[in-house]
Amino acid sequence: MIIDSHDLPNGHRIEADLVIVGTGPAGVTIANEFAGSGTRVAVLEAGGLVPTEESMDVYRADNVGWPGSNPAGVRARYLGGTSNLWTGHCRPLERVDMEERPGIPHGGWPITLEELDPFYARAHAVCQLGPYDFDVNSWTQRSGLEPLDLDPALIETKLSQQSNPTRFGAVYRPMLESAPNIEVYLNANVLELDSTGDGAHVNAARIATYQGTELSATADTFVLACGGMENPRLLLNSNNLANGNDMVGRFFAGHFYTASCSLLLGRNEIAPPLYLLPAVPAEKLGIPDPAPVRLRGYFCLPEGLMREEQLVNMNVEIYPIDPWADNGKARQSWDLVREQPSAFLGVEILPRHLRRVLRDLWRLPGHDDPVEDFGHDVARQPNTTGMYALQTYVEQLPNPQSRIRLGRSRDAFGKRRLQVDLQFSGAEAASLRRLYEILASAFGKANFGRVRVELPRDAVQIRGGGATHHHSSTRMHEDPRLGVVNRDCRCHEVSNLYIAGSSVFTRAGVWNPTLTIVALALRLSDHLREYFDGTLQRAA
Amino acid sequence: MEHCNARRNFLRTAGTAGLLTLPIGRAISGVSLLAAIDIDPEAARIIGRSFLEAYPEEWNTRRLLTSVAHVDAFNVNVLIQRDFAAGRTVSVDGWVLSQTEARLCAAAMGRGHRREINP
Repeated sequence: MIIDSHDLPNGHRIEADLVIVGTGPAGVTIANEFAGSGTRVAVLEAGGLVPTEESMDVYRADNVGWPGSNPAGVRARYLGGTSNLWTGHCRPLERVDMEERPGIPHGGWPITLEELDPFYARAHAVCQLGPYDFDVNSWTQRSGLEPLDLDPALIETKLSQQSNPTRFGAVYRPMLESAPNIEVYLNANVLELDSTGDGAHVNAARIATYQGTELSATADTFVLACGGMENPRLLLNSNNLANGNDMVGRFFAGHFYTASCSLLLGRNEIAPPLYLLPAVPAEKLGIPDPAPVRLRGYFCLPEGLMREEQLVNMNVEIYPIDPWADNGKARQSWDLVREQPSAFLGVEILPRHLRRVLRDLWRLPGHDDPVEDFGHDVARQPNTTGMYALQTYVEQLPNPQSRIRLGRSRDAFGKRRLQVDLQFSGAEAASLRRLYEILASAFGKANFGRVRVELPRDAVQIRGGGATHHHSSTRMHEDPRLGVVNRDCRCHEVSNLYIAGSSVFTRAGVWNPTLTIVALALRLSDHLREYFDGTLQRAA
Repeated sequence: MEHCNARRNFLRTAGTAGLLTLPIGRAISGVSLLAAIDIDPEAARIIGRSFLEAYPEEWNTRRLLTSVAHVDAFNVNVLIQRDFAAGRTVSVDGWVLSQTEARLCAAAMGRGHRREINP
């Protein structure tokens, strides 16, 4: 059942076994796992069914760190959360992202990739993806799409799959409406968690609506699933809950993207379609789903080389730079703006999307499937310039000085806004420079165009681009002095409080976090189900 | 694969949003070393100039010509690929080029042009 909190009387108390704060991929996945069970679940969503200015305003934050950081611009605060702005790229973490290794201090997860593997397989269904398979050779056999023949000691092709993308609010809304044991409360802003005097147990969530109604929610167990920035903010605004070691908000990180490198190919030559988001028809895969599977090939460093040279993880995708070719982004932007115009309310990226649409307006008619067209159309037509941007995503090193904390300004509910101090060490820029050297060498060796590097030799900061995929601000670590949650995603200091979402990532590697968010949410759901079934005893 | 046989006409006309700062020309026809690597003479002249400005130690004419004396139309591509494999690359206005192709461009400039750079 979905309930508008504005319809509830002042002082109303919501009672449940499990309270989930947030309806993004993590919150909805956990709710979905409990649908139809004997556990009473209350899901608290701060926004409504569509975004509003007053809801988005709560996300405003002061930026005192890296200027490319955009705290409010890449988040959505309504049913479905930031999945409403998701591009859909999915790939699991890699072993090199989870291990403790030289050059990456504080980098080791307390769980292994093998432990996550079965949850990734389940997450594929949740995210409406194709087969759980990222092996390049097997996809080449299925699809005929070949990777570029580069020296595997230097550059490896890795694949991501593209979700439709799944808008968790829309796709799972029927479940949220019909599950007899689930109640979703819209416009329910959790202002604070009330806990016992020693902060070891959460008693209730204090809630306010935009119309001034005050509510509360009590439960046996609480799960915070409100994103990489709001999870720590809620803890900090709850009298520093779970923060006895000053770890909440530390290690805050994002993915940096930059295009400080370009590739020029020979006349009439094109990049292999595998790298241009092709769609593989379902019939080629022998799967019943009629929807094609969208892939994207990336140029990446082999794991051995990353370990040997102590480099952070990075991936490189190519985009044609051609004023006469639709690079696919126009269509993507058009669909996004057309489907959910209100999603851009208060979001700074709207002008960029509109510019793309206006630039390639004449190409929009007649394209039924933008992603499929993108892959095939662009790949098949000669690129009149031969220029490609090598857009690169860069992992941020775990850094305790990179953090979010409470600032002085307050939101409409009187709660303190965040102050964002995203910092990176300089090792990221060094890794990026080395990646470009290796790329230039690998491409040259394969006689595949020439590379131009526009990263200054002495650059210690990455220019351009921005930061997305906020993570690690309530990270998972077995040592309470180095993390906020344990391997079960439970707060070290609070017996009945769990955290879901990218804020628990010990490290994020370089891939889009959504698939891992969902995998971890499934893992947490199993843990909580065992607890509510009575098969698991929770330590005090 | 076809795309692996990319001709190195990487300095051809590309007036795209001012992305190339190196000048542009059309690929030449005819049999020559530059043609073998698909660089037109005008582009080669400017690559050569930028290369010698960035690496003045390469200016010595005799040494420069000696360094490319063994290069011919049959082995030039192999030599260039070997350069990349061995890390013998130079950075010319941001472009990462093989030492051999950069030297070929400098050698192809002609003495007069070279003298302009470093008389």
